[in-house]
Amino acid sequence: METQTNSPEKKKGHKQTGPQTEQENLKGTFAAVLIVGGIILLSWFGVFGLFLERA
Amino acid sequence: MVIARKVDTDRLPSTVARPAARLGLSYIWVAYIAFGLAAIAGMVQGMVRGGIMELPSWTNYYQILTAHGVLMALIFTTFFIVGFLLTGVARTTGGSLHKTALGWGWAGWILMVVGTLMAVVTILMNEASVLYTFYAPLKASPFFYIGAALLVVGSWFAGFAVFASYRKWKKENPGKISPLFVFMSVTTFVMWIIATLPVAVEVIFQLIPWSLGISPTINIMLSRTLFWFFGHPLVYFWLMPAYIAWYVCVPRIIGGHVFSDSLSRLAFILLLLFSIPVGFHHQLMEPGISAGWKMIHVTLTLIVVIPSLMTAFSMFAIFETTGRKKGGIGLFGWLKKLPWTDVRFFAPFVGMLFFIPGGAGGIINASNQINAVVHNTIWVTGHFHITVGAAVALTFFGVSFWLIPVLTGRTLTRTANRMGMVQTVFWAVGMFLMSFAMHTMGLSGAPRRTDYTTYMDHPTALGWMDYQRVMAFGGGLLFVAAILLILILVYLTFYAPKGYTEYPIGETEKEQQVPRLLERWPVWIGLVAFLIVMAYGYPIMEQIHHQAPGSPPFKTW
Ligand code: HEM
Ligand SMILES: [Cu+2]
Repeated sequence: METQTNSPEKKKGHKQTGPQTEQENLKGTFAAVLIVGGIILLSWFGVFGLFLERA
Repeated sequence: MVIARKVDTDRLPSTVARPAARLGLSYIWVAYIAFGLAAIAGMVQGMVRGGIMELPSWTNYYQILTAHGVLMALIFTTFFIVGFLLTGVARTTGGSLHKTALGWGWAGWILMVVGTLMAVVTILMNEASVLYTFYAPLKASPFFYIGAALLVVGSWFAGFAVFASYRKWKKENPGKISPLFVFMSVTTFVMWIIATLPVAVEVIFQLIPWSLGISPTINIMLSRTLFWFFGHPLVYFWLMPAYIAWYVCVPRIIGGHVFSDSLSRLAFILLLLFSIPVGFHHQLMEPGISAGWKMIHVTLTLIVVIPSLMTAFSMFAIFETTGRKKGGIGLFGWLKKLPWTDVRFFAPFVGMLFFIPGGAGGIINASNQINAVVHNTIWVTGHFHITVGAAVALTFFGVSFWLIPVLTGRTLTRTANRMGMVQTVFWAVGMFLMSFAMHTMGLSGAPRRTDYTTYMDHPTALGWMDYQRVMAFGGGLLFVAAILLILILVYLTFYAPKGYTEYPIGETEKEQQVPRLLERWPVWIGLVAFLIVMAYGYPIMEQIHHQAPGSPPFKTW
């Protein structure tokens, strides 16, 4: 795909382009988005339960 | 704690030039005047519904509710957004706005102020208690609708100012990808202009002639469809600038970096694509639209989960990478390393937390069947107070704490920062209590938009009264927070010590490759047009060709 670097005026010594090389630790981020997903599902099924109860 | 951090000023324009700053400040102060008035109305509504006070005979609940909704949701938000985006675009395109952009900016301001005054005066004269959705067949004075039209057209002019700056930057930087802030601002205004075209059509061709008595009746279905064509993207017009602060400004404030340039841009493109062809999710209880078309809109609506979770992921990733770099360890140890005592971070962060239940509630609202549980109950009011009233508003407050000093050449002092923290806590606790009560009452059937009533002492309605009082108490805390906010902002505008304040703009840690496709506007605008025609073309045609008998105007107050 045709790409472009985002901050061309920056002339840093280490010209690092492409995908990041060293692996960043994002375990906490993964856990956090799972929690968010869980909250969404719990509340959705909660209200869906109310709907079924009243239907 | 360092509040005015030093930046490498040789490379970055350190501030916003005077003319652009003056323009930005003019927008922002109109926003906060509207906000202050609306906060009074909000508190009064809570008290009335809670049975704590009664309104004097010269006014009524629906007049105050209209004032609150219009001033908060339409005036405060729009003015703040324009002020924030115009100054941010100035900051990231060389520090100033050129003549053309300033011209559009001021012309927009004048139109918007005139429109606002017309709307506010008609509301005060009790000629326009039609609530902020101005649904027909409730009829307001024609001046109310003309004011609304001026507000919308003025905001387009502000958009033209952004486009003009973008074009100028592109010309001066051929072949380069635009700064993230500019890209996001352009996306926001492209979305806004497309979304507001139909509501302009509704106002100019349906409401104004009908209100003037030129056309005796109005096509209700069509007017509602045109309204929600705009009404849903309206919430994204509030949200996208808050996302800009989250994606671009917050990383810099916490001493970190933008996580991924391409991901941020892609999220905005997805918001542009999927915030418009979805309006029927507000009309799920409407008999005049068939189930199939509702399903198509619901499906498109739920796609917005993708950019939303991309945003959630990016925010956590920014916090985690920054926190780990500062020595945070373990699964969540990095959270401790964030600058919790810096209101510029704390206020938007609390806003983000509110957005989690807000997003969850949104998926519930948009689900066809369970919409029946919450439709037109005060659950909905609770929902948009945690989304726009908390997530977006707290982000805007957090931005104001540094943006106003930037624009006035003053500094956010330690004391002002501390007052800001207190203000944030009051607002958050108030919103939590008020919205929690609203959500709970809503689930047991309490309607929104209703004056104090016990429904002839019906046991169910009496069961709501405790929650009504919690709601009123939350409203009281919110009012205190609103006053505190205005005081802090007056201080930052006129009295804080002179000095340098940074306009925080984050960058990626390393240079990143950005697909050029993301900036090919004809592709994206073409796709938006395609989705709109697919989702709305046939239903709108049907509403015009097979219209039900039109309605004469009603004035119910
Ligand atoms: C001082 C803080 C606030 C308080 C005490 C407050 C309170 C209320 C109450 C009690 C209602 C009416 C419920 C009903 O009868 O349906 C309401 C409605 C509303 N509020 Fe707020 N609110 C506050 C802040 C905000 C903010 C910051 C926004 C948006 C930026 C906002 C937007 C709205 C809207 C759009 C409505 C609906 C009006 C309508 O149904 O036509 N409010 N608010
Ligand atoms: Cu919507």
